[in-house]
Amino acid sequence: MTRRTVPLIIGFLAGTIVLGKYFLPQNAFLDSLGTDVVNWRTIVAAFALGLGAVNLLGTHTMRIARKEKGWDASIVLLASLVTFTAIGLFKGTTSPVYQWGFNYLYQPIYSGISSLLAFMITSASYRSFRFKDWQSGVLMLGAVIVMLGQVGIGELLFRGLPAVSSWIMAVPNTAGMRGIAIGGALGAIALSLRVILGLERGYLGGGQ
Amino acid sequence: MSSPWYERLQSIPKPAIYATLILVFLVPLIRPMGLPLLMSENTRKAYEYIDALPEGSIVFHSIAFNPAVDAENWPQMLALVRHYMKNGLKIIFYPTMQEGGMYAERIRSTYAAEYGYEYGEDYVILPFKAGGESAIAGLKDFWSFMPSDVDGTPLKDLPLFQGFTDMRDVDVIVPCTGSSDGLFYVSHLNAAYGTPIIMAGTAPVLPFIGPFLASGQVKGAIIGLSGAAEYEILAGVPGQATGAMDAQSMGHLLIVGLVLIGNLGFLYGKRVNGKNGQNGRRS
Amino acid sequence: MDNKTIAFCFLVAFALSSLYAMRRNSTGSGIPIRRVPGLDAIDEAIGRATEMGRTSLFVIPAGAFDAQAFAAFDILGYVARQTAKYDTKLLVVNALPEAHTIATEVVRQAYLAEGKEKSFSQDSMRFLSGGFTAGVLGIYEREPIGANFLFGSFFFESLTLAEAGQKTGAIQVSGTANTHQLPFLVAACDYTLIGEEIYAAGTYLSRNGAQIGSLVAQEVGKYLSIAAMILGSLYFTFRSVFQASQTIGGR
Repeated sequence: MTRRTVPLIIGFLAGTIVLGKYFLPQNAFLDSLGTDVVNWRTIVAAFALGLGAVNLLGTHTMRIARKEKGWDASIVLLASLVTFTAIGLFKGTTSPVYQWGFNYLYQPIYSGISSLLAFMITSASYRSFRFKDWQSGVLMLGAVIVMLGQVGIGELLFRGLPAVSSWIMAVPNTAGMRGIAIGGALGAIALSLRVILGLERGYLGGGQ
Repeated sequence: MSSPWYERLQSIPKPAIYATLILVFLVPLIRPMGLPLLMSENTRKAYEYIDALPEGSIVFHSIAFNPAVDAENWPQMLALVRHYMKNGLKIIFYPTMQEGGMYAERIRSTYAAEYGYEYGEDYVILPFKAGGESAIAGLKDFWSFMPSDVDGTPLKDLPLFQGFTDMRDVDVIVPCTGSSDGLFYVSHLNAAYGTPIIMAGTAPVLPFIGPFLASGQVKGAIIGLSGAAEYEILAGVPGQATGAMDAQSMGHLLIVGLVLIGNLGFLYGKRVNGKNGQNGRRS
Repeated sequence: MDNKTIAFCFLVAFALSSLYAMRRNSTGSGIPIRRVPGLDAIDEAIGRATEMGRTSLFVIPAGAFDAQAFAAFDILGYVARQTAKYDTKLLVVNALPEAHTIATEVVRQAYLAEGKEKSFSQDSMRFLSGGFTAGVLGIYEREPIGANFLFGSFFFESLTLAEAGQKTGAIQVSGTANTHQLPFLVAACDYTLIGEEIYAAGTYLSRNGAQIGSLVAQEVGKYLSIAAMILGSLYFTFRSVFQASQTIGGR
């Protein structure tokens, strides 16, 4: 009972305070409460980061202890976690050694993984853009015009391409995006209302 | 027996596609082709807005990106920061992603000296705050939310913050992002104070900020690597984006070429067999 | 009328239509919900993974911890109940530290509800931080994936995960309200929930009367928005025409 009731009450109070702060006329008490709720949210998020690190530590220590598949990679992970945490704590995140780690280890690895996107976009475009019917034809034509219109070579191929590309982005695209964004925002309001009123309990594991 | 040519055109192996893409990127990087660079209206508007700010104006530069997207966001940020410094604008850096602070530190350690910028007086780095949208909404109560800078120095002790009351004193907010963080500034700070926003975003950011550009809430936008290259040229600040544009042009051309090849096989196959292509999937 | 008053009126109308629809729904005059193929495909995907003895993977991405994350929990709860029911292996990968504990609880409760609490394993709940994309790609390589669910606030990683996931041969069902990533997910996944559909997923799957009420309110809100847009456009158009005619008349 309490396991569910307490989070529902917290959700209701936090939601109504923030809504009240926004809609009601300026009120020092409500303003300060609203600010506190927003501050708590950032504090909880910061704690969650720590919790995430603890979870990583626990999961990978167990993996090493049980010598599960890939346990050697877990050693590398734990060593990196401990080393960077120690440097950050004792030398500070603005120290040259921390920055070196960021610039020459973390950034290249992360950027490298992310650069896979270029390859994925190429193969996905090749696979997906097929002239199956007039709708997919319009989609494909739009994509081709925008892709070429965004870069210099498009202008070399056809002078008017950048203008057509800009028109596609500014008119049909904006119209479509507005529709989806308004629908999405309404959905988010509906879900938030359900959470505030305690009707939405999926995040508590479901139930009535 | 090998499959007919039109089927092979529809199923070029991924490794072959990837190898061609690497080649197509590498060649223009080694041997630049000097392809023309387009100047988009959004970049021009962004440049003109920043350029027209009087010396000493405060720019709130939000760093909401990480190495995943820094190939686009970092050249944008560098071109913008050099432009601010060239024009004598005061800068407040605010990282809303864990890694964001490292890019601000890079400015402090390497680039601030180019224009003789002094920390605390000409620019300040705020600490990272977790919480995403809340970390932006919290700025409305600036002094209680942000009492000190990244080094723990109280902001009230820094010259840049003398006379600073709240976010209303900021002349422009520039979120540099690969996500929708920029829109949180629109909904929380532009909506509350009318603070102008210039967006610097990765290429996928453009479609969803379109409505806000049209409404005038976002004054201009620097989008993708091409936006960074355009800004470098407009602001007259050297950078890495311009040099990489040929490679991007050729990459786009390759994708278009592959799409055309795939469709050639698909349409011919449809004519011969009277059936759909093999790659049709639901969705 | 200022913006806040308009927003407040809108919220009140929204809440009232919710209450009305909830009441109507509880008295038996049920409100039909249109079919969402993407949500129906969840059962198909889990069924196929079960038949093939493969794993169902649920990915909560690295974007914001926002309403989309809550929508993802709803879908996760349903997926977990189904996998518990059919004894299919479930792996949940998550990049949001805030979401990790909640996701774990959602899955644990789902297994409990199906009487399979002993089948729940903490190991199936993986938190991946900075190396999230690489971590998921690694799972694609190591695990035989039969069903791949990608729900939440996606950013650059959407296409990398969906396109690489496509290579595993799994049925992929995705959903996001991040308009910038929708084209990528639509291109690479079998089914994609677009924008508002993701928020309706919990209601659609649970068929809970009270929740259906808020779906109706969502529709009412949509009609109100459309009406406001049309009226606003007409008002500003006529105002500018009127002002222009006055200027010409004044000369």
